[in-house]
Amino acid sequence: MTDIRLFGYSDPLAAKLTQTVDFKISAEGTTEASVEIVRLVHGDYNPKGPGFIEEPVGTDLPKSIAVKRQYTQNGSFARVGNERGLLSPKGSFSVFAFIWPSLPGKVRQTIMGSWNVNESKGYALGINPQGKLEFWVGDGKNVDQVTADVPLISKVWVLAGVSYELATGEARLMQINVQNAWNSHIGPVTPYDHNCHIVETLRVKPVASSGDFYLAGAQEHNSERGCFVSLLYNGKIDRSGIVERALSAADMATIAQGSVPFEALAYWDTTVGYTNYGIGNVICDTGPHKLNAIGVNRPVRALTGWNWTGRDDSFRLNPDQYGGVAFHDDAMTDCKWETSISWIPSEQLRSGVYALKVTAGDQVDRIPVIIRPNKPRARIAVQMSTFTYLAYANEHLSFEAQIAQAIVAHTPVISANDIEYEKLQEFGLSTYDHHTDGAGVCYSSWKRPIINIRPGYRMAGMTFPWALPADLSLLWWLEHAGFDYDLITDHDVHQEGLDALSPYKAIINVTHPEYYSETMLDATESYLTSGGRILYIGGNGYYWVTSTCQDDPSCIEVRKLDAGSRAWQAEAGEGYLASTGERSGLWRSRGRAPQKLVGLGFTAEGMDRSEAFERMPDSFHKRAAWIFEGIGEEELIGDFGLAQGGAAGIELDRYDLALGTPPNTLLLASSCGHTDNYPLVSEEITYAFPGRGGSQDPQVRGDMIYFNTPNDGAVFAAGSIAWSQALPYHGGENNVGTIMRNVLNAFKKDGKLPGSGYTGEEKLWR
Amino acid sequence: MADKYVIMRLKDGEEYYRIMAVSGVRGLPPRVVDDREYYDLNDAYHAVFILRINDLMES
Repeated sequence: MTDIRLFGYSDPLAAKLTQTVDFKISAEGTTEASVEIVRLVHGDYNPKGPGFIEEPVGTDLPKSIAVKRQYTQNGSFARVGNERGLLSPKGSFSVFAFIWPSLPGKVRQTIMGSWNVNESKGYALGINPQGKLEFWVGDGKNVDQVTADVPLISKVWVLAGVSYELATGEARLMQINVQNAWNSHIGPVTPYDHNCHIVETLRVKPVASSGDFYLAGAQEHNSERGCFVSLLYNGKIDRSGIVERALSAADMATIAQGSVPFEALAYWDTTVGYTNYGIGNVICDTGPHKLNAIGVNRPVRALTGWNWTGRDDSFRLNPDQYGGVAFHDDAMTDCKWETSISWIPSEQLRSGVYALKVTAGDQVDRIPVIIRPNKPRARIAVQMSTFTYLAYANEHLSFEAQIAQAIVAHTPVISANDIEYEKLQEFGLSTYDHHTDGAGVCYSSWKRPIINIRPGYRMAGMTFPWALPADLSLLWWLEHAGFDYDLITDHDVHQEGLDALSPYKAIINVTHPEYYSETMLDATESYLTSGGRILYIGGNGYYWVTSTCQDDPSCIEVRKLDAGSRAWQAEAGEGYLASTGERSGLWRSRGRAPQKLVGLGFTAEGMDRSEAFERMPDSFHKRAAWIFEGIGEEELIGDFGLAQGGAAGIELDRYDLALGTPPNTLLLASSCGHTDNYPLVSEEITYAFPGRGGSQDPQVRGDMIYFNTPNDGAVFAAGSIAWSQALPYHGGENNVGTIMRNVLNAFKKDGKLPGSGYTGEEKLWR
Repeated sequence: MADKYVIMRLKDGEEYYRIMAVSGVRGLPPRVVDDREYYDLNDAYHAVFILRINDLMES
């Protein structure tokens, strides 16, 4: 009997009350599963906190549903509809493409063609398992091919082309070097011969296959799974096309110089469609039939092309040199599973984090969904960092990142579920991972099972809950302390801007609001200047320039480059988002350091232990002393917590006037005594020298600050991921909670804030 | 990454561990290093430390 396995996701990940939520489930070893909706109250098993808590929610959903195995198409490629058979020429033809193969060898890959694996019909230009360019054709019985006599070199541009003469069966395979000083991973000084010109007579004439034409894949069928795409390609493809005659060697040489064959049956011009705001998922055919190629699993665009000459670092400056489209055999942004059950949360439901609890045998899965009210109800909103949740979704760090153990300073603690996901490799990667060819992953979506948003999940590298499961500690405490709140999400603020924030007197940022879009920054700034109040109680916030794909809000995009704690580095010239046209990387590098908004910005991270905050002189200033009512003058704040034993730790943010902290900011408290596993962040390192760890560098600390903004607005910030995970300690009654109570009670009221009348300086202490 | 040690938590929410080593190959799960079980995370960390010392001495 097969072991039972359950996987699932909700679409959308966050919904308003009365909006339909579709749960998509795949099951093995069972055809039936029991389901119920639960409210997720606390998501950490740590015995020093309240433990794992969920509450059943009454719904009219059936108690049990039919489930089945659902399959996932991995790999990115582009599909061209071939219903009219135009791309299966009946006579002579030629195909060509500029390519930058990133992983030639080991397995067969298809660059372009109509090849059908099961039928052995059609044709394809591809790469054989020996890493050589190959053109193959099939008639349903036999297959013949012509193969290059020089290997393709990884990450070097060539024009790959073949012309086929039907009458004679002659196939002319050409590989033409288009490498320059800028466009490839090795330069012209390497004495490799990238050119090849082979002419052979094929014994087989291609017979039209059924199905579609693909860039970067071939069609296949399996009786259980149905149609899918295989023989996936790793690397970039620039402009490509097909011509209904056998091109001569001279014709190919002309194409290799950049000319477009005027009689092309199809010409996929990857540079068409750029605007100042990016480019979408459609690769335009500028030929007579407009046979556009549609990207699946988000091929990466806005990349340098075969003719890149390095002067322009963005497609916005020179789209003609940005024809590169990268395909990866492990890219996956949408499982496209059928809906197993839908739920419409009733209008009476409280805003919160819910889950569909799916049970079969001894297996249980909880598929989270964040529920927002359909109209604002509370005076406080918690902005759940859905961008961050996606950025870390299904990260592979403990299994694949050499440096991970050095960063976290301990051995990872994995679970059975981690091993299950590792074995399957079906549910895609995070923006902390690399594709099989070493390229960083820039897209992540919610349309797939995501292990690390499950309640109770501990991220293996850290050994404690991270992001959504950690944020449940904050929500648990808000309920414990009696504060009404609504949940909103990064996606809401990204979509609606200030309108998502303005109904609320106070907004709470959660543990790790790391990924932010320009719209979100603008909304946050407008909210603060118009009297809004923010509790920024996380670490490393407003850090990466991020956006969602214009045609798919479920999918975020980020490019990591130049500076910052980054899991990968974008290739030269590839730092701009295809989804918006803006330069990605750190917001700090674009003039919007987080200090300018919330007074604090990233300064150090470490995962070995956390510390406490100590009061600073400003905490006795009358403008802010009310925040410390109930706290002793020398009392340590948060010398406890569920995230490594303190409220100050994991990732820390620092007050810094030089980076834009408002000069009217009061420095209320700081942490100190961090270990040397908390080094100063790399964006601060201009020269490398010893002594940048927590025991030596004074910039390695978490700060707690307060400042007023125009129109009775304010920011209270405690720059530490561990802050919220200290709240549930001692049954939720502790001095971190005391500070939170003081701030929230003041922030949720209309009118002037306590202490705001004290605008002088020297006379206002104690 | 091949043979890098990891600690496997055998049951959610419980202090119950075993030492494994990753394969370094995507899709190939970690192997169990030995059958010993640990009921305190610090004991498991210490066991990994000893394994690394032994590896170093043998190298």
